[in-house]
Amino acid sequence: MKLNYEIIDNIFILSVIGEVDANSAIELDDYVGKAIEDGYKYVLVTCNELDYISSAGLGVFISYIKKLKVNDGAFSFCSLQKSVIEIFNLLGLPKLVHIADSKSESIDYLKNYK
Amino acid sequence: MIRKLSIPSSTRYLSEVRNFVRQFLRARNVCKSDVNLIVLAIDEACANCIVHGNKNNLNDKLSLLLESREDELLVKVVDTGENVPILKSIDDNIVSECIDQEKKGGLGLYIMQKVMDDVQFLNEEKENYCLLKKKINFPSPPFQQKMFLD
Repeated sequence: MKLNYEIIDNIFILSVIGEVDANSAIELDDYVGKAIEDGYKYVLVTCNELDYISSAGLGVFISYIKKLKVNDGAFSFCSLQKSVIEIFNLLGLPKLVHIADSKSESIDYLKNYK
Repeated sequence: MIRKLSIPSSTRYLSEVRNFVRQFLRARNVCKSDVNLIVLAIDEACANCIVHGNKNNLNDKLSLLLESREDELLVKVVDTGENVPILKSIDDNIVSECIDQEKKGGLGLYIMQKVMDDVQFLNEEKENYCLLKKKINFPSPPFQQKMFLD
C-alpha cells in the first residue's frame, strides 16, 4: 500500500494505492487519524489505484465517520474499481458514505457540504 | 483437489494468502466477482486467526487448506494460538454499530458470514479451526466445453 495526500480548499485528499489489509491498515489509520486531529473535517479518498481493501482498512474509515459528522464534516470516496465497489456494497457502505465517479465530483460535494 | 499453504503467523504474510487463493480459484475458472469476495472472506479468516488466535506471534504457524469439490469450496484455517470464543452470528446492524461506537474492528466475521454459506469455529487438541464452505460451480475450462459440444 502507498499513501499520498494533498490539500485543496481545506479538503484532505488521500490517494490510497495498492492493497489495504490488516497489516497496512495501521499506517492508513495513522494518516487519517492525524488529518482529523489536525482539524480537517472533509476527507476525500481517491481509490482509482486501490486494488483491494479488507475490513481492517474499511474499519479505519468507518471509525471516523461519527467524528467527522459531529464536526459537520464528511468523507467522500471517488473512482472506485469494480472489485472495491463489490466490497463496499457487501457492507452497505454506499448508503452510509458519499461515493462519486470522479475526484472533481467529490470535491464539489464536500465544498457544498452543509 | 486440495492445496495447502503454511505461513508464519503475521499479518505481513496476508498478501501471500490472497495470492494463493486467487491462483487456486482462477485455475478453476471461478468468475472474477466470486474470486474477489472469496479472497476477501479468507483474508478475514486468516487475519482473525493471526491477530486474535496467535496474537501476531511469529513463532506460531498458520495453515490454510483449500479443497474444491464438484460444487463446493471447503476452506480450513488452522492456528495454534489462544482459543478465542467467537460470536455465532452477526446481524446487518454491525456497520451502524461500528460507526456509532467508533470501532475499527468486528467486521471480519460479518464479511465471512455474508460471503460464505457456512462458517464454523472448532477447537481440538491445542489447534483452532475456522471452517468455511461455499457452494460454487467450478466451470470446466473452455477447451473441455468445446470437446463436450463436439
